[in-house]
Amino acid sequence: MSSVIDLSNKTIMITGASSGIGAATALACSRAGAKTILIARDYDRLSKVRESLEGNNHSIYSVDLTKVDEIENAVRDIIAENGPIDGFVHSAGGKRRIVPLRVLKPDAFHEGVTIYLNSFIELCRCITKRNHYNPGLSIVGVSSALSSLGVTGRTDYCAAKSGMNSAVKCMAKELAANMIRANVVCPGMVNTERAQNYNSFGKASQDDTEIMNRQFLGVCEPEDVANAVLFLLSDLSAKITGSSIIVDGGLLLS
Amino acid sequence: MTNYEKYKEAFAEAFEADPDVVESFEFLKAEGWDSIGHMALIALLEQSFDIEFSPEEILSITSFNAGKELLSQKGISFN
Repeated sequence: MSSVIDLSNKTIMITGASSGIGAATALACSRAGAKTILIARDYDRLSKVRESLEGNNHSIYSVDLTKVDEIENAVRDIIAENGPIDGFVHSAGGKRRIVPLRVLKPDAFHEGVTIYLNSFIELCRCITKRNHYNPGLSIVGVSSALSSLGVTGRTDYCAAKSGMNSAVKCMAKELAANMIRANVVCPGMVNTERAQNYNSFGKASQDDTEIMNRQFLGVCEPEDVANAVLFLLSDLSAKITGSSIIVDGGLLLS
Repeated sequence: MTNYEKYKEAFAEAFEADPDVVESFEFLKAEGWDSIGHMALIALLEQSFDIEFSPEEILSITSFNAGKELLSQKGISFN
């Protein structure tokens, strides 16, 4: 273990674990001594992430979280194989795309909201079933500081992330009696592969430039976000629930 | 609906224009084809033809004909 935070004897489930913040969180958890369960669509990429982790007690599962109806069975099988979990991190994301309101038809909106919000809610529902978790379960949603600002052409993304922020407040109240905590981390601009491949242009590009100019500490690295997630997964945050930790380099400062 | 009709429909919808007039459209000259309209066009073309554009390709669609040429290069047949 090479971390100031101790997650030894804890099992942490992480979605979106094949890249970016999810992969960085997996590495941070492994260094803190946790056993991790890594979930993403791409099994080969998950395998590479697993090879980079400390310890050899990590599991990987290829699950398409856009198929929300299949999540319940997947969670049941995964927990049957790995035992009850102590932490859950939802970092799954879809293709980062710009869709202006005029063409954001129901199908396009639904597609955007499904991966960021609907799958998160369904995963939380399934994970918080009896015998699926240990007392002290910590749920951490990877949300976004951008949802507080609004971004041109990203109504679906920002609405979903705002929904995630509200959802954890409801969960925090509803699940406190079961010793379950729920929080979000809200990153600003993060240097991920998905962000690097983002086809930003026009007004959206102007928005990005303005965001970068206001992110006084510069672009965040995935590890910066993972560190905040790690804190929320740990017993150091035992009395923090229904909250947001903003990791935005100062973006939301007025 | 043919691919050509789908292509014209994408322009008509993105720029809220009549499909019969879009063949002469050029970026920043046609009404509605500003940067937001361009984003709308890109989203519709990617959805309609199940393709993805690179940043360079997005910027290369500067007219109706330029876009049609690009789609042809990406394997979309207009015959």
